Amino acid sequence: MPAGARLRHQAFVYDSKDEFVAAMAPFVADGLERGDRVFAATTPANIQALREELGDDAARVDFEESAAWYREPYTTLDAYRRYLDQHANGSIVRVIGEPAWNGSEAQVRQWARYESVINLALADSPAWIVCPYGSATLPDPILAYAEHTHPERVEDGSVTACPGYLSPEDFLPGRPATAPPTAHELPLEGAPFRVLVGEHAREAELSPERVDDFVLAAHEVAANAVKHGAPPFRALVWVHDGELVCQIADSGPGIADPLAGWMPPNGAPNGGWGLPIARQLCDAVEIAPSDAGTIVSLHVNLDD
Amino acid sequence: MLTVVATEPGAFSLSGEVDCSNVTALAESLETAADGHSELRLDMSQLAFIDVSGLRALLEASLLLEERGGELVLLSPRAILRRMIALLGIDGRLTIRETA
Repeated sequence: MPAGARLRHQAFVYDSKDEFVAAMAPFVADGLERGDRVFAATTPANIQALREELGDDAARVDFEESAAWYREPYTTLDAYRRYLDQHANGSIVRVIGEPAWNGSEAQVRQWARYESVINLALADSPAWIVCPYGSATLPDPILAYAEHTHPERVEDGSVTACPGYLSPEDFLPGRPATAPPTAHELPLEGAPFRVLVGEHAREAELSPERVDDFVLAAHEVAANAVKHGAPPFRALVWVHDGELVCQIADSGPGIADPLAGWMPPNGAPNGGWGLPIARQLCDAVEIAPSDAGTIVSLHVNLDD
Repeated sequence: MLTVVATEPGAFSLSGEVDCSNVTALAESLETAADGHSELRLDMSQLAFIDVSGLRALLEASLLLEERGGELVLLSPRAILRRMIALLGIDGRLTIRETA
């Protein structure tokens, strides 16, 4: 890696395919000319337009469609980490990374957190990541996330600092889901807790495999709360708005590390396996501070 | 509630559940079981639940046996345990076989 090369993470708000190509084709071409590895995850239409503009050079770009690449935030971050390990040998890796912004509100908040967490997780990587945000299709709250989660932005061919940038420690996208009156309270103890979580998951008509996934994820989050948090604890489960949610609250000091559950578990033989597992087994796992402590919410979509 | 039953020399069948409340008992059973054997086979098919603390105990036992030139073999684990092992990226560090 070039000495001192560190992460550059920039937002690029565009309103048309032409504007996308006008900014991204030079970014790619310039990188290829310098010998940088180039990766682009974006929409099928943008991929096609970029390929046409780049001509033969397009063959040297690793393209992925956003809908396939951005399925689950933990997995995507891990895939980027592995891609960078593999390709950043002495050069910069240029990335066009356009999240798909699919899914429930909890999933969208989780993708916003992912954008923020990148600033820490990949801080020492020689990566230059530009994240396109299509203003023609994305709602305002998501466009605001772009401003909060990227230290810089690309606009009219120049790079400026995002005045609204927040550090990952300070970035709190929205509030965790509020329990509806129909929520059931569960005893937060080992086997009885797992039995009840399983019953609610079956009642919500999850497949047997996904019931097992949900029970394990909820168990790990509950075990973490009991081990690291402080009483009083509260565990709730509910079905609302096409989602099955299990929410576990504790009254401890909170999870200080904004990277908790985002880093690969291999490096942590003495702990830190529970959250990465929970993240990968659910559609979204939200960690949020509450007035009393910490609330962790596990979400599973019921329409899949 | 966890039950560990010896089925033949070096082979044990696990049933019930393993979580942080009884993982120490599992670790101790494995340590005792490994005493005098280089290969240890654990029938996992009847184990209804195991969490990451239990998986860590299995991994530690496996590493201990490997150091002695032996092996820990997990027989017929349930699908959720296989998923957990794969998601943690430790599939290369545990030996899994389908049947006894």
